[in-house]
Amino acid sequence: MTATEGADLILEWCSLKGGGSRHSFEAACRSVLGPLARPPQLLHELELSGHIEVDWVHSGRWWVAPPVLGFVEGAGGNAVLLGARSPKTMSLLNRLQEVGDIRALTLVPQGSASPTAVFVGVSSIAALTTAGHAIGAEPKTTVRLEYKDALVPLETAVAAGTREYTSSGIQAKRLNVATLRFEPCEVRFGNWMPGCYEQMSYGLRRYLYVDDEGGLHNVDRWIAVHAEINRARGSTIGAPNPLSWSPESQSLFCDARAQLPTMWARAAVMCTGLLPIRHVDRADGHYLDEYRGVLGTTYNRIRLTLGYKTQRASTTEKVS
Amino acid sequence: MLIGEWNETLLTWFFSRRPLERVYLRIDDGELDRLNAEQALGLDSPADDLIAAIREEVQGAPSLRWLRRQGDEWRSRSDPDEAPPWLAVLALSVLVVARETERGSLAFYPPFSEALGLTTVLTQVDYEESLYKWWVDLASWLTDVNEGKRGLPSWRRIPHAGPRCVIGHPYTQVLLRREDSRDIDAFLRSLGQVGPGDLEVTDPATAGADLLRRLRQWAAQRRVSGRLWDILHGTRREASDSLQYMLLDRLLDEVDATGARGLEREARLVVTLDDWADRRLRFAAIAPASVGLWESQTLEVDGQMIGPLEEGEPYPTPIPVDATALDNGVSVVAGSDVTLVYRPSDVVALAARDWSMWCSIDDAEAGETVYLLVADTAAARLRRLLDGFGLTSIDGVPEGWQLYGPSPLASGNNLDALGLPIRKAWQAVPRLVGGLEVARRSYLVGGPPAVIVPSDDTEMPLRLDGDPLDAALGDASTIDLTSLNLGRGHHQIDVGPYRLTFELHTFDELPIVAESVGRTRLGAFAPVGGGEGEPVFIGAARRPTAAYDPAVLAPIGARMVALGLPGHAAECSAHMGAWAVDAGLPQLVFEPAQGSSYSGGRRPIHPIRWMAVQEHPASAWSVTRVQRVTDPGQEAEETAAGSSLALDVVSEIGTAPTVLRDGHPDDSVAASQDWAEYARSVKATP
Repeated sequence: MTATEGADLILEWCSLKGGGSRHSFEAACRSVLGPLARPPQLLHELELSGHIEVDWVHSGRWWVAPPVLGFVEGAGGNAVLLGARSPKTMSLLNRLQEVGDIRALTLVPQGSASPTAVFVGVSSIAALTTAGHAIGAEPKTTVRLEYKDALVPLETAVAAGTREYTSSGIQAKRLNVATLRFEPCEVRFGNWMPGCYEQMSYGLRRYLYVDDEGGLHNVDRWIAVHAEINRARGSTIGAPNPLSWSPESQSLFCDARAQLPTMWARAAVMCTGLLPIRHVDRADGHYLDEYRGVLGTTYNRIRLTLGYKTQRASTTEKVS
Repeated sequence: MLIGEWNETLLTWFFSRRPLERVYLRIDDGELDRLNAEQALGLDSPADDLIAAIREEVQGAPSLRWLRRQGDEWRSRSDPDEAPPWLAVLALSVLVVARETERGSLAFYPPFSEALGLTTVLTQVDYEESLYKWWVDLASWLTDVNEGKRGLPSWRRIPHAGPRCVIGHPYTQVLLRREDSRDIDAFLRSLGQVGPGDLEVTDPATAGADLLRRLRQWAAQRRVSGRLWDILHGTRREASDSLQYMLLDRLLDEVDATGARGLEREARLVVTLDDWADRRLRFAAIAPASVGLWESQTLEVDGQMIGPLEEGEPYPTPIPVDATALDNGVSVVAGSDVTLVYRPSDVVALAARDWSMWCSIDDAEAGETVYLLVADTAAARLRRLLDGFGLTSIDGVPEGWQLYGPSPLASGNNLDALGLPIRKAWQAVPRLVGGLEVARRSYLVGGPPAVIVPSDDTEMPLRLDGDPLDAALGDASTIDLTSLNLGRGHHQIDVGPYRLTFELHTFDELPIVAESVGRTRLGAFAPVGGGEGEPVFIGAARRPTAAYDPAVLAPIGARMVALGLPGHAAECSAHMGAWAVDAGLPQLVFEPAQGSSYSGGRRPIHPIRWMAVQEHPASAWSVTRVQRVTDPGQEAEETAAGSSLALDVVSEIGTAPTVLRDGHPDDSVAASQDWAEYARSVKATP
């Protein structure tokens, strides 16, 4: 069994299981993929692709998402299968192709240990609906738009994590916006200075954003990071713009040290149904995530809600 | 006291333990003195009084006929509250064995007969017809009639023949004292990792010997009581034989799917703390290994559904952590036959381990970082242990309790103050781990479990489905089965005297997803409701479902023209993303590129109302289909000769165009009427 087949099998298992703990996912993952398995990465990829939802921070649980056959703009009439799937799903799709109800069935590999993307070729909305219903999937033409329209300004997401109290600050690390790395710092008696912090709590990295007024916000890592970059950009410190977009290739590039928060990443992934590709930026050696096929309107929505100006990407300097 | 009173007293003293806890009829002179004092029996010599009461009942009849008849009637009534009529006699047999063992004697029949007041020595036949059966009856009464609620027996599997077969029952009860049991319990905790039905013992004698050997190894790595050490390493063969029976008995109880463990319907309530964001103490439910055998893995507490439960994982409940709950414990019926139970303690240790929150634990590990929730009444006792623990301030710590930590538990005797067994990773028997398990011991083909075998210097013979298995498939203690490409069906692995079975399946069903939790626009998790309001995303689905808003999806054609307001038209270029080409996707439809334009086009057409499609390349412009555009966001640019083109298009189409349905099931007629209206208006435009 190849690693890709293993990843597909794990997705089928998730679909049958319905939900579970990260612990059980990791055990299952290691059983199938062996010692080289990277369960958190696979779990994250399944999450980004809309196959499952993962509550990394609180319950540590995952849930499989309902199957959706989502039309992808610019895919030449191919819809991507997201959410739960099983061998029965694939056998039904093969049968639909044989009888001509769908025009094509294309399996797109996405890396050595990542799940295969399944594209279903249709020539009309009616055919999309027929195929979706045949495999128990919800036919949709608006997945990208729904995610794009759902994006909220970063300040709103930060405000949602506002807390009166938070952790002590023992062995906390603070984000250096110049390097986008967390570095050890000293927090005395829970007295947090403005910034973005990381602290270990029962084996998990937790993140805190402290605004200029001293407000405490327990938020997702990437929301905290972008909030801090925004704060720094408004000050004399200065900070990089981690997002860029290529109008030629319609690719959105994001610095892997300041990744898109889940909802924003989903909005980008739902443009194609494909996972981002990780590159090395030749200019400074750090990693970049390339989200392919991101339409201009979606890119604008992502950058505006995260608080960044337009930045044109140069695709020639990136190596996969 | 009369024998009936002794029966009741012994029942209360020994068999009113916690449900499913292992019980011992551990009678010796010291225990009888304790019982006499604590139960305020007021006896000068409880042992003599017990003997006198039994003699009064037996009346010198070696067949114990009267008691046997009473026992038969008692058994037929199956009353969980009625004390067995012969319980005092079993207790006497234990007392005799205890006294004889203390003297270094192996004698049993003569001293026991004397204690019973028999005129002749009890024969083995009489013994087998009475006491041997009564021990079995007592085990059955505890397990089946009382369903383990008075505790589980610790003497069930004494062989009918062989060494110690006769006095094995009483001997097992006094082999170890209370203080020795703690070591055995710590050793046996690792057996708790195997659940009902997980394991079969194919060779009990070898398995018993194997368990004893492993206990010896285990004991060599830590301090155990002197008495246990003597049994393990002394020359008293009968003692080690009895210990074997006890170990095997415990193992078989754990893995017996039809036994009381398999019937276990109790989920443990643990105190939890998320000290990062929530910062409140809460109760969570943790299911036992038998959860896979439950009819439903979902619980209901105060109208809130919890689960489906997964063994060993905490699930938050709405039960409040208050002083009453901590002081008195909690027992809540949370389903048709499942009870949630919190057993009170004056100190509660919370550790993180593999959970994503701090959870109260029932064993402790030196060096482990913990929070300690301590009752004020226990603070003095824990003073040394609490050195280095700071007070933690969070909301909702009940009055009379304090939360300390988190801090590592220092090793040493201080740990004893916690009153928890010491945790030690130990693998006594093989077990299955991991794999793509979809039901209990049922896995997907391609995702079989791995086998963890006890690691020591002895190589156990391994067989897979009857054939020798190369142990070099994994590391020293883990056998990876994935590379064997096992097919569908039942499989069995024999590891020495143990057998593990599992099944591999392929599931030919479409997945059915229970939509429970999704993300809000803020990315936070929220229950998926069926009503209106804040949208919740679960994967690519949105709940509630958004209004229908189909995008254009036209068949691929040679040419496509967008028609806007009457007189406005634009020729569109076909579009397919570079990513889609790279991915090898076939182009099946003609999608107009955003903003595509006819050469020389200038003004955007907004909105596009219709798309006219020429399906096949032809020398002459021949529109074969038109499709209504329902997405108002579509834009194109007007052609310089837009008006005439639009008229041309309409003219070419003639009066009977094929109007594509645009996704609505029954709108083709309406769409045709719309198009006819549009065509008339175009023709009417100068």
